Amino acid sequence: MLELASIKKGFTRDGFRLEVLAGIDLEVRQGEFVSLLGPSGCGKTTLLNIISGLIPADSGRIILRGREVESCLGEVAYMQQNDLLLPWRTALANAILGPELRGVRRREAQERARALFAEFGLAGFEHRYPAELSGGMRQRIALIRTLLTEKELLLLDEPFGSLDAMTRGVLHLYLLRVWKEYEKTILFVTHDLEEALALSDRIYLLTSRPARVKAVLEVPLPRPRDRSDRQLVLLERELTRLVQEEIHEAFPEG
Amino acid sequence: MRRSPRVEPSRNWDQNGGRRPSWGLRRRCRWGYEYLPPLGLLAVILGGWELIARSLGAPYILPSPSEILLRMAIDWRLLLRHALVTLEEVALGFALALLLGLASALLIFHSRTFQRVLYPLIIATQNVPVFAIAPILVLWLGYGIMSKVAVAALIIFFPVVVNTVDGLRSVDRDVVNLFKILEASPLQVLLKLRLPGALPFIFSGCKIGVTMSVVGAVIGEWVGAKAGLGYLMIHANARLKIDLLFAAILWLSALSIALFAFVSFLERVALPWRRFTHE
Repeated sequence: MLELASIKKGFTRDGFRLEVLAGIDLEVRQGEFVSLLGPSGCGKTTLLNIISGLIPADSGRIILRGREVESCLGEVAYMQQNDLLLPWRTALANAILGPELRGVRRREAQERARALFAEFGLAGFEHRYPAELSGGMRQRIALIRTLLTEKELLLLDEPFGSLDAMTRGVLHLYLLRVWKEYEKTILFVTHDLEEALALSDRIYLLTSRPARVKAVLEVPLPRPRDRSDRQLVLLERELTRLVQEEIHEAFPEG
Repeated sequence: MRRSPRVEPSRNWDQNGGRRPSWGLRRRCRWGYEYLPPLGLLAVILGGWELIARSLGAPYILPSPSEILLRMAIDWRLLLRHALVTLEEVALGFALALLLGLASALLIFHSRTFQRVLYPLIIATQNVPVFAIAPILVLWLGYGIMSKVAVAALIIFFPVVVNTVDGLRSVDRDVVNLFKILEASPLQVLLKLRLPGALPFIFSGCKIGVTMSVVGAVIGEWVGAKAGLGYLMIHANARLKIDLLFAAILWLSALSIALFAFVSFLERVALPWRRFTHE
Protein backbone atom coordinates (compact mmCIF):
# COMPACT_ATOMS: atom_id res chain seq x y z
CA MET A 1 0.00 0.00 0.00
CA LEU A 2 2.57 2.52 1.19
CA GLU A 3 6.32 2.26 1.16
CA LEU A 4 8.91 4.78 2.29
CA ALA A 5 12.53 4.51 1.25
CA SER A 6 15.27 6.51 3.03
CA ILE A 7 13.14 9.60 3.66
CA LYS A 8 15.34 12.44 4.89
CA LYS A 9 14.33 15.83 6.20
CA GLY A 10 16.05 18.68 7.96
CA PHE A 11 15.18 22.27 8.74
CA THR A 12 17.40 25.30 8.60
CA ARG A 13 16.46 28.21 10.81
CA ASP A 14 18.67 31.23 11.48
CA GLY A 15 21.60 29.44 9.88
CA PHE A 16 21.22 26.54 12.27
CA ARG A 17 20.69 23.12 10.69
CA LEU A 18 18.41 20.66 12.43
CA GLU A 19 18.32 17.11 11.07
CA VAL A 20 14.95 15.58 11.88
CA LEU A 21 14.66 12.44 9.78
CA ALA A 22 17.89 10.56 8.98
CA GLY A 23 16.55 8.13 6.38
CA ILE A 24 13.32 6.36 7.26
CA ASP A 25 12.33 3.09 5.62
CA LEU A 26 8.98 1.57 6.33
CA GLU A 27 6.18 -0.37 4.75
CA VAL A 28 2.46 -0.46 5.38
CA ARG A 29 0.64 -3.26 3.58
CA GLN A 30 -2.99 -3.08 2.62
CA GLY A 31 -5.28 -3.60 5.59
CA GLU A 32 -2.48 -3.39 8.11
CA PHE A 33 -2.37 -1.46 11.36
CA VAL A 34 1.15 -0.10 11.69
CA SER A 35 2.44 2.04 14.55
CA LEU A 36 5.29 4.49 14.65
CA LEU A 37 6.59 4.58 18.18
CA GLY A 38 9.07 7.21 19.26
CA PRO A 39 9.85 9.87 21.83
CA SER A 40 8.15 13.28 21.62
CA GLY A 41 9.83 15.59 19.15
CA CYS A 42 11.62 12.83 17.28
CA GLY A 43 10.05 13.74 13.96
CA LYS A 44 7.00 11.46 13.80
CA THR A 45 4.72 14.33 12.91
CA THR A 46 7.23 15.60 10.33
CA LEU A 47 7.12 12.19 8.69
CA LEU A 48 3.32 12.22 8.55
CA ASN A 49 3.41 15.76 7.13
CA ILE A 50 5.71 14.52 4.38
CA ILE A 51 3.50 11.53 3.58
CA SER A 52 0.34 13.64 3.51
CA GLY A 53 2.00 16.22 1.26
CA LEU A 54 2.04 19.20 3.62
CA ILE A 55 5.83 19.51 3.37
CA PRO A 56 8.32 17.99 0.91
CA ALA A 57 11.04 15.54 1.90
CA ASP A 58 14.68 16.50 1.25
CA SER A 59 15.32 13.12 -0.31
CA GLY A 60 13.92 9.61 -0.42
CA ARG A 61 11.03 7.95 -2.18
CA ILE A 62 7.36 7.51 -1.43
CA ILE A 63 5.71 4.58 -3.17
CA LEU A 64 1.93 4.42 -3.03
CA ARG A 65 0.19 1.34 -4.44
CA GLY A 66 3.33 0.43 -6.38
CA ARG A 67 3.80 3.87 -7.98
CA GLU A 68 6.35 6.42 -6.90
CA VAL A 69 4.61 9.65 -5.94
CA GLU A 70 5.59 13.16 -4.77
CA SER A 71 3.27 12.74 -1.81
CA CYS A 72 -0.02 11.11 -0.92
CA LEU A 73 -1.97 14.36 -1.09
CA GLY A 74 -5.59 13.53 -1.81
CA GLU A 75 -5.01 9.85 -1.10
CA VAL A 76 -4.93 9.85 2.67
CA ALA A 77 -6.99 10.99 5.64
CA TYR A 78 -5.19 12.67 8.53
CA MET A 79 -6.26 12.92 12.14
CA GLN A 80 -4.44 14.72 14.93
CA GLN A 81 -4.34 14.88 18.69
CA ASN A 82 -6.21 18.16 18.44
CA ASP A 83 -9.70 17.41 17.13
CA LEU A 84 -9.65 20.54 14.90
CA LEU A 85 -13.43 20.78 14.94
CA LEU A 86 -14.74 24.11 13.67
CA PRO A 87 -16.44 25.81 16.64
CA TRP A 88 -19.15 27.40 14.50
CA ARG A 89 -20.30 24.10 13.01
CA THR A 90 -22.48 21.57 14.77
CA ALA A 91 -21.18 18.06 15.35
CA LEU A 92 -22.90 16.77 12.23
CA ALA A 93 -21.74 19.66 10.05
CA ASN A 94 -18.17 19.09 11.27
CA ALA A 95 -18.35 15.39 10.47
CA ILE A 96 -19.37 15.95 6.83
CA LEU A 97 -16.63 18.47 6.10
CA GLY A 98 -14.78 16.09 3.77
CA PRO A 99 -17.75 15.13 1.56
CA GLU A 100 -18.96 18.74 1.58
CA LEU A 101 -15.63 20.00 0.23
CA ARG A 102 -15.71 17.27 -2.41
CA GLY A 103 -19.13 18.49 -3.52
CA VAL A 104 -21.17 15.51 -2.30
CA ARG A 105 -24.85 16.40 -1.80
CA ARG A 106 -25.42 17.52 1.76
CA ARG A 107 -28.42 15.27 2.40
CA GLU A 108 -26.49 12.24 1.25
CA ALA A 109 -23.45 13.06 3.40
CA GLN A 110 -25.66 13.73 6.42
CA GLU A 111 -27.38 10.38 6.05
CA ARG A 112 -24.05 8.58 6.15
CA ALA A 113 -22.83 10.71 9.05
CA ARG A 114 -25.99 10.03 11.07
CA ALA A 115 -25.49 6.30 10.73
CA LEU A 116 -21.92 6.67 12.01
CA PHE A 117 -23.09 8.90 14.89
CA ALA A 118 -25.39 6.10 16.01
CA GLU A 119 -22.61 3.56 15.65
CA PHE A 120 -20.25 5.72 17.72
CA GLY A 121 -22.76 6.32 20.51
CA LEU A 122 -23.32 9.92 19.50
CA ALA A 123 -26.98 9.71 18.48
CA GLY A 124 -28.79 12.79 19.78
CA PHE A 125 -25.68 14.96 19.71
CA GLU A 126 -25.78 15.77 16.00
CA HIS A 127 -26.82 19.38 16.51
CA ARG A 128 -24.56 20.20 19.44
CA TYR A 129 -21.65 22.57 19.05
CA PRO A 130 -18.14 21.23 19.81
CA ALA A 131 -17.90 23.48 22.88
CA GLU A 132 -20.82 21.57 24.41
CA LEU A 133 -19.14 18.19 24.07
CA SER A 134 -16.52 16.27 26.04
CA GLY A 135 -13.02 15.60 24.71
CA GLY A 136 -13.86 11.96 24.00
CA MET A 137 -16.98 12.90 22.05
CA ARG A 138 -15.11 15.53 20.06
CA GLN A 139 -12.40 13.04 19.15
CA ARG A 140 -15.06 10.53 18.07
CA ILE A 141 -16.53 13.21 15.79
CA ALA A 142 -13.05 13.87 14.39
CA LEU A 143 -12.77 10.12 13.75
CA ILE A 144 -16.11 10.14 11.91
CA ARG A 145 -14.90 13.11 9.86
CA THR A 146 -11.73 11.14 9.04
CA LEU A 147 -13.79 8.11 7.97
CA LEU A 148 -16.11 10.18 5.80
CA THR A 149 -13.16 11.35 3.70
CA GLU A 150 -13.50 7.87 2.15
CA LYS A 151 -9.75 7.39 1.97
CA GLU A 152 -8.37 3.94 2.44
CA LEU A 153 -5.18 4.98 4.18
CA LEU A 154 -5.54 6.76 7.52
CA LEU A 155 -2.67 8.68 9.09
CA LEU A 156 -3.35 9.09 12.79
CA ASP A 157 -1.04 11.39 14.75
CA GLU A 158 -1.42 10.59 18.45
CA PRO A 159 -5.17 10.92 18.00
CA PHE A 160 -5.99 10.02 21.59
CA GLY A 161 -3.00 11.73 23.22
CA SER A 162 -5.05 14.28 25.11
CA LEU A 163 -7.63 11.84 26.50
CA ASP A 164 -7.70 10.09 29.86
CA ALA A 165 -6.84 6.40 30.01
CA MET A 166 -10.44 5.15 30.20
CA THR A 167 -11.74 7.29 27.35
CA ARG A 168 -8.73 6.29 25.31
CA GLY A 169 -9.46 2.60 25.95
CA VAL A 170 -13.00 3.05 24.64
CA LEU A 171 -11.77 4.92 21.58
CA HIS A 172 -9.24 2.16 20.87
CA LEU A 173 -12.16 -0.25 20.57
CA TYR A 174 -14.01 2.14 18.26
CA LEU A 175 -10.89 2.54 16.13
CA LEU A 176 -10.31 -1.22 15.86
CA ARG A 177 -13.94 -1.71 14.87
CA VAL A 178 -13.67 0.97 12.19
CA TRP A 179 -10.41 -0.49 10.92
CA LYS A 180 -11.98 -3.96 10.54
CA GLU A 181 -15.44 -2.98 9.38
CA TYR A 182 -14.36 -0.44 6.76
CA GLU A 183 -11.17 -2.28 5.75
CA LYS A 184 -8.87 0.65 6.37
CA THR A 185 -5.10 0.73 6.38
CA ILE A 186 -3.73 2.64 9.33
CA LEU A 187 -0.42 4.32 10.09
CA PHE A 188 -0.65 5.25 13.74
CA VAL A 189 1.82 7.58 15.46
CA THR A 190 2.20 7.35 19.21
CA HIS A 191 4.68 7.76 22.03
CA ASP A 192 2.72 5.32 24.18
CA LEU A 193 4.24 1.85 24.22
CA GLU A 194 1.11 0.12 25.56
CA GLU A 195 -1.11 1.81 23.00
CA ALA A 196 1.14 0.60 20.19
CA LEU A 197 1.13 -2.96 21.55
CA ALA A 198 -2.63 -3.02 22.02
CA LEU A 199 -3.41 -1.93 18.47
CA SER A 200 -0.73 -2.73 15.93
CA ASP A 201 0.20 -5.51 13.57
CA ARG A 202 3.67 -4.08 13.41
CA ILE A 203 5.57 -1.46 15.38
CA TYR A 204 8.36 0.71 14.05
CA LEU A 205 10.42 2.02 16.94
CA LEU A 206 12.16 5.26 16.09
CA THR A 207 15.28 6.70 17.68
CA SER A 208 15.36 10.20 19.07
CA ARG A 209 16.23 13.03 16.68
CA PRO A 210 17.52 12.65 14.03
CA ALA A 211 15.12 9.74 13.69
CA ARG A 212 16.00 6.36 12.23
CA VAL A 213 14.13 3.10 12.50
CA LYS A 214 15.69 1.40 15.52
CA ALA A 215 13.64 -1.79 15.45
CA VAL A 216 10.64 -3.40 13.80
CA LEU A 217 8.40 -5.55 15.96
CA GLU A 218 5.67 -7.86 14.67
CA VAL A 219 2.68 -8.36 16.98
CA PRO A 220 0.87 -11.39 15.53
CA LEU A 221 -1.88 -11.53 18.16
CA PRO A 222 -5.67 -11.36 17.80
CA ARG A 223 -7.57 -8.30 19.01
CA PRO A 224 -8.89 -7.13 21.42
CA ARG A 225 -5.72 -8.04 23.26
CA ASP A 226 -5.39 -9.12 26.83
CA ARG A 227 -2.59 -7.26 28.53
CA SER A 228 -1.71 -10.28 30.64
CA ASP A 229 -1.36 -12.51 27.60
CA ARG A 230 2.01 -14.30 27.84
CA GLN A 231 3.16 -13.44 24.34
CA LEU A 232 2.15 -9.83 24.74
CA VAL A 233 4.02 -9.55 28.03
CA LEU A 234 7.13 -10.92 26.34
CA LEU A 235 6.78 -8.46 23.47
CA GLU A 236 6.26 -5.61 25.91
CA ARG A 237 9.41 -6.63 27.77
CA GLU A 238 11.36 -6.70 24.52
CA LEU A 239 9.98 -3.32 23.47
CA THR A 240 10.70 -1.82 26.89
CA ARG A 241 14.27 -3.07 26.67
CA LEU A 242 14.71 -1.43 23.27
CA VAL A 243 13.24 1.83 24.56
CA GLN A 244 15.55 1.72 27.59
CA GLU A 245 18.50 1.13 25.31
CA GLU A 246 17.47 4.14 23.23
CA ILE A 247 17.19 6.28 26.36
CA HIS A 248 20.72 5.30 27.35
CA GLU A 249 22.03 6.17 23.93
CA ALA A 250 20.27 9.52 23.93
CA PHE A 251 21.59 10.39 27.40
CA PRO A 252 24.92 8.59 27.88
CA GLU A 253 25.89 8.42 31.53
CA GLY A 254 28.99 10.04 32.90
CA MET B 1 -32.56 4.74 12.16
CA ARG B 2 -32.67 5.33 15.86
CA ARG B 3 -32.86 8.92 16.92
CA SER B 4 -33.02 9.74 20.58
CA PRO B 5 -35.00 12.80 21.65
CA ARG B 6 -33.10 16.03 21.92
CA VAL B 7 -34.05 16.42 25.56
CA GLU B 8 -31.62 13.77 26.68
CA PRO B 9 -28.31 15.45 25.81
CA SER B 10 -29.73 18.74 26.97
CA ARG B 11 -30.37 17.37 30.45
CA ASN B 12 -26.95 15.85 30.43
CA TRP B 13 -25.45 19.18 29.47
CA ASP B 14 -27.24 21.02 32.23
CA GLN B 15 -25.74 18.69 34.79
CA ASN B 16 -22.26 19.05 33.41
CA GLY B 17 -22.16 22.65 32.37
CA GLY B 18 -24.66 24.40 34.60
CA ARG B 19 -23.81 27.63 32.80
CA ARG B 20 -27.35 28.45 31.87
CA PRO B 21 -28.53 31.54 33.76
CA SER B 22 -30.84 30.66 36.60
CA TRP B 23 -33.42 33.29 37.39
CA GLY B 24 -33.41 32.43 41.06
CA LEU B 25 -33.06 34.66 44.08
CA ARG B 26 -29.29 34.85 43.89
CA ARG B 27 -29.46 36.08 40.36
CA ARG B 28 -31.92 38.82 41.22
CA CYS B 29 -29.82 39.87 44.21
CA ARG B 30 -26.79 40.12 41.99
CA TRP B 31 -28.79 42.20 39.55
CA GLY B 32 -29.59 44.64 42.34
CA TYR B 33 -26.00 44.52 43.54
CA GLU B 34 -24.74 45.42 40.10
CA TYR B 35 -27.23 48.01 38.97
CA LEU B 36 -28.47 49.73 42.15
CA PRO B 37 -25.27 51.67 42.99
CA PRO B 38 -24.88 53.35 39.57
CA LEU B 39 -28.62 54.02 39.41
CA GLY B 40 -28.48 55.52 42.89
CA LEU B 41 -25.59 57.77 41.94
CA LEU B 42 -27.44 58.85 38.80
CA ALA B 43 -30.51 59.74 40.93
CA VAL B 44 -28.36 61.84 43.26
CA ILE B 45 -26.74 63.69 40.34
CA LEU B 46 -30.08 64.35 38.64
CA GLY B 47 -31.63 65.48 41.94
CA GLY B 48 -28.75 67.87 42.60
CA TRP B 49 -28.94 69.16 39.04
CA GLU B 50 -32.68 69.76 39.39
CA LEU B 51 -32.14 71.73 42.61
CA ILE B 52 -29.30 73.85 41.22
CA ALA B 53 -31.13 74.54 37.95
CA ARG B 54 -34.28 75.62 39.78
CA SER B 55 -32.42 77.91 42.18
CA LEU B 56 -30.47 79.37 39.25
CA GLY B 57 -33.66 80.06 37.33
CA ALA B 58 -31.87 80.46 33.99
CA PRO B 59 -33.13 77.72 31.62
CA TYR B 60 -31.25 79.34 28.71
CA ILE B 61 -28.01 78.40 30.49
CA LEU B 62 -28.85 75.33 32.53
CA PRO B 63 -32.26 73.73 32.09
CA SER B 64 -33.38 71.32 34.79
CA PRO B 65 -33.80 67.61 34.03
CA SER B 66 -37.57 67.96 34.32
CA GLU B 67 -37.57 70.79 31.76
CA ILE B 68 -35.50 68.65 29.39
CA LEU B 69 -37.90 65.73 29.75
CA LEU B 70 -40.82 68.07 29.13
CA ARG B 71 -39.13 69.38 26.00
CA MET B 72 -38.55 65.81 24.80
CA ALA B 73 -42.24 65.08 25.27
CA ILE B 74 -43.39 68.26 23.51
CA ASP B 75 -40.96 68.14 20.58
CA TRP B 76 -40.79 64.36 20.13
CA ARG B 77 -41.86 64.59 16.51
CA LEU B 78 -39.13 67.12 15.72
CA LEU B 79 -36.50 65.08 17.57
CA LEU B 80 -37.58 61.85 15.92
CA ARG B 81 -37.47 63.42 12.47
CA HIS B 82 -33.90 64.63 12.95
CA ALA B 83 -32.82 61.42 14.70
CA LEU B 84 -34.03 59.43 11.69
CA VAL B 85 -31.85 61.57 9.41
CA THR B 86 -28.79 60.88 11.58
CA LEU B 87 -29.72 57.21 11.74
CA GLU B 88 -29.98 57.07 7.97
CA GLU B 89 -26.54 58.64 7.60
CA VAL B 90 -25.00 56.17 10.01
CA ALA B 91 -26.80 53.18 8.47
CA LEU B 92 -25.73 54.08 4.94
CA GLY B 93 -22.21 54.86 6.13
CA PHE B 94 -22.13 51.55 7.93
CA ALA B 95 -23.21 49.60 4.86
CA LEU B 96 -20.69 51.42 2.69
CA ALA B 97 -17.84 50.95 5.18
CA LEU B 98 -18.66 47.28 5.66
CA LEU B 99 -18.60 46.66 1.93
CA LEU B 100 -15.37 48.56 1.30
CA GLY B 101 -13.83 47.37 4.57
CA LEU B 102 -14.37 43.68 3.88
CA ALA B 103 -13.12 44.06 0.32
CA SER B 104 -9.99 45.92 1.46
CA ALA B 105 -9.35 43.39 4.21
CA LEU B 106 -9.54 40.53 1.72
CA LEU B 107 -7.13 42.33 -0.62
CA ILE B 108 -4.74 43.06 2.22
CA PHE B 109 -4.93 39.49 3.46
CA HIS B 110 -4.44 37.82 0.10
CA SER B 111 -1.85 40.07 -1.48
CA ARG B 112 1.41 41.18 0.00
CA THR B 113 1.48 44.09 -2.43
CA PHE B 114 -1.85 45.40 -1.22
CA GLN B 115 -0.74 44.90 2.35
CA ARG B 116 2.28 47.09 1.71
CA VAL B 117 0.40 49.70 -0.35
CA LEU B 118 -3.01 49.86 1.25
CA TYR B 119 -2.44 49.19 4.94
CA PRO B 120 -0.17 52.19 5.66
CA LEU B 121 -2.58 54.47 3.78
CA ILE B 122 -5.56 53.23 5.75
CA ILE B 123 -3.68 53.78 8.99
CA ALA B 124 -2.61 57.23 7.81
CA THR B 125 -6.22 58.28 7.22
CA GLN B 126 -6.89 57.53 10.86
CA ASN B 127 -4.30 60.07 11.93
CA VAL B 128 -6.28 62.88 10.33
CA PRO B 129 -8.98 64.04 12.76
CA VAL B 130 -12.57 63.83 11.56
CA PHE B 131 -12.92 67.52 12.40
CA ALA B 132 -10.35 68.28 9.72
CA ILE B 133 -11.88 66.10 7.03
CA ALA B 134 -15.54 66.92 7.62
CA PRO B 135 -15.46 70.46 6.07
CA ILE B 136 -13.74 69.11 2.95
CA LEU B 137 -16.28 66.34 2.59
CA VAL B 138 -19.13 68.82 2.97
CA LEU B 139 -17.46 71.02 0.36
CA TRP B 140 -17.20 68.09 -2.05
CA LEU B 141 -20.42 66.23 -1.33
CA GLY B 142 -22.71 69.07 -0.33
CA TYR B 143 -25.09 69.84 2.50
CA GLY B 144 -27.18 66.74 1.88
CA ILE B 145 -26.72 63.46 3.68
CA MET B 146 -23.94 62.12 1.43
CA SER B 147 -21.19 64.11 3.15
CA LYS B 148 -22.34 62.76 6.52
CA VAL B 149 -22.55 59.24 5.15
CA ALA B 150 -18.95 59.64 4.04
CA VAL B 151 -17.79 60.83 7.46
CA ALA B 152 -19.57 57.93 9.20
CA ALA B 153 -18.18 55.44 6.69
CA LEU B 154 -14.67 56.79 7.14
CA ILE B 155 -14.88 56.16 10.87
CA ILE B 156 -16.38 52.65 10.65
CA PHE B 157 -14.03 51.61 7.86
CA PHE B 158 -10.88 51.48 9.98
CA PRO B 159 -11.94 49.12 12.80
CA VAL B 160 -13.70 46.89 10.26
CA VAL B 161 -10.56 46.54 8.12
CA VAL B 162 -8.16 46.01 11.00
CA ASN B 163 -10.40 43.49 12.76
CA THR B 164 -11.22 41.59 9.59
CA VAL B 165 -7.55 41.25 8.65
CA ASP B 166 -6.76 40.02 12.16
CA GLY B 167 -9.71 37.64 11.98
CA LEU B 168 -8.65 36.18 8.64
CA ARG B 169 -5.19 35.63 10.08
CA SER B 170 -6.48 34.11 13.31
CA VAL B 171 -7.25 30.70 11.83
CA ASP B 172 -5.25 27.82 13.31
CA ARG B 173 -2.57 26.54 10.93
CA ASP B 174 -3.46 22.93 11.68
CA VAL B 175 -7.02 23.55 10.50
CA VAL B 176 -5.71 25.14 7.30
CA ASN B 177 -3.61 21.99 6.82
CA LEU B 178 -6.69 19.86 7.41
CA PHE B 179 -8.45 21.76 4.62
CA LYS B 180 -5.40 21.24 2.40
CA ILE B 181 -5.43 17.50 3.00
CA LEU B 182 -9.16 17.46 2.23
CA GLU B 183 -8.19 19.20 -1.05
CA ALA B 184 -10.28 22.28 -0.44
CA SER B 185 -10.09 24.97 -3.12
CA PRO B 186 -8.82 28.44 -2.11
CA LEU B 187 -12.40 29.72 -2.38
CA GLN B 188 -13.61 26.97 -0.05
CA VAL B 189 -10.87 27.80 2.44
CA LEU B 190 -12.03 31.41 2.36
CA LEU B 191 -15.78 30.78 2.57
CA LYS B 192 -15.86 27.78 4.86
CA LEU B 193 -12.88 28.52 7.09
CA ARG B 194 -11.41 32.00 7.05
CA LEU B 195 -14.57 34.10 6.86
CA PRO B 196 -16.53 32.15 9.49
CA GLY B 197 -13.43 32.27 11.68
CA ALA B 198 -13.15 36.03 11.16
CA LEU B 199 -16.81 36.76 11.92
CA PRO B 200 -16.38 37.34 15.67
CA PHE B 201 -13.59 39.81 14.86
CA ILE B 202 -15.70 41.54 12.22
CA PHE B 203 -18.53 41.98 14.70
CA SER B 204 -16.12 43.50 17.23
CA GLY B 205 -15.00 45.98 14.59
CA CYS B 206 -18.60 46.81 13.74
CA LYS B 207 -19.51 47.41 17.38
CA ILE B 208 -16.64 49.85 17.82
CA GLY B 209 -17.28 51.50 14.47
CA VAL B 210 -21.02 51.93 14.75
CA THR B 211 -20.77 53.64 18.12
CA MET B 212 -18.11 56.08 16.99
CA SER B 213 -19.79 56.74 13.68
CA VAL B 214 -22.71 58.51 15.38
CA VAL B 215 -20.23 61.10 16.64
CA GLY B 216 -18.80 61.33 13.12
CA ALA B 217 -22.19 61.96 11.54
CA VAL B 218 -22.95 64.68 14.10
CA ILE B 219 -19.63 66.41 13.41
CA GLY B 220 -20.52 66.33 9.74
CA GLU B 221 -23.86 67.89 10.54
CA TRP B 222 -22.23 70.66 12.57
CA VAL B 223 -20.11 71.63 9.61
CA GLY B 224 -23.05 71.93 7.29
CA ALA B 225 -26.39 70.20 7.05
CA LYS B 226 -30.09 70.69 6.51
CA ALA B 227 -31.25 68.13 9.05
CA GLY B 228 -30.09 65.67 11.67
CA LEU B 229 -29.52 65.71 15.42
CA GLY B 230 -26.25 67.62 15.02
CA TYR B 231 -28.00 70.22 12.90
CA LEU B 232 -30.75 70.44 15.54
CA MET B 233 -28.14 70.97 18.28
CA ILE B 234 -26.52 73.90 16.45
CA HIS B 235 -29.93 75.28 15.64
CA ALA B 236 -31.16 75.02 19.26
CA ASN B 237 -27.92 76.41 20.63
CA ALA B 238 -28.15 79.50 18.44
CA ARG B 239 -31.67 80.18 19.70
CA LEU B 240 -30.73 79.53 23.34
CA LYS B 241 -33.12 76.57 23.42
CA ILE B 242 -30.76 74.73 25.72
CA ASP B 243 -33.43 72.26 26.83
CA LEU B 244 -33.82 71.19 23.21
CA LEU B 245 -30.03 70.92 22.91
CA PHE B 246 -29.94 68.58 25.88
CA ALA B 247 -32.88 66.62 24.49
CA ALA B 248 -30.96 66.14 21.24
CA ILE B 249 -27.91 64.94 23.19
CA LEU B 250 -30.06 62.39 25.02
CA TRP B 251 -31.48 61.15 21.73
CA LEU B 252 -27.97 60.93 20.35
CA SER B 253 -26.68 58.71 23.14
CA ALA B 254 -29.86 56.62 22.95
CA LEU B 255 -29.19 56.19 19.23
CA SER B 256 -25.61 55.08 19.90
CA ILE B 257 -26.71 52.58 22.52
CA ALA B 258 -29.49 51.26 20.29
CA LEU B 259 -27.09 50.76 17.38
CA PHE B 260 -24.60 48.97 19.60
CA ALA B 261 -27.37 46.76 20.99
CA PHE B 262 -28.59 46.03 17.45
CA VAL B 263 -25.15 44.90 16.27
CA SER B 264 -24.75 42.82 19.45
CA PHE B 265 -28.11 41.23 18.73
CA LEU B 266 -27.07 40.40 15.17
CA GLU B 267 -23.85 38.95 16.57
CA ARG B 268 -25.75 36.64 18.91
CA VAL B 269 -28.00 35.48 16.07
CA ALA B 270 -25.13 34.97 13.64
CA LEU B 271 -22.81 33.26 16.12
CA PRO B 272 -25.04 31.03 18.27
CA TRP B 273 -22.06 28.84 19.20
CA ARG B 274 -20.32 31.71 20.97
CA ARG B 275 -22.52 31.43 24.04
CA PHE B 276 -20.93 28.06 24.78
CA THR B 277 -17.38 29.33 24.54
CA HIS B 278 -17.84 32.81 25.97
CA GLU B 279 -19.74 34.14 28.94
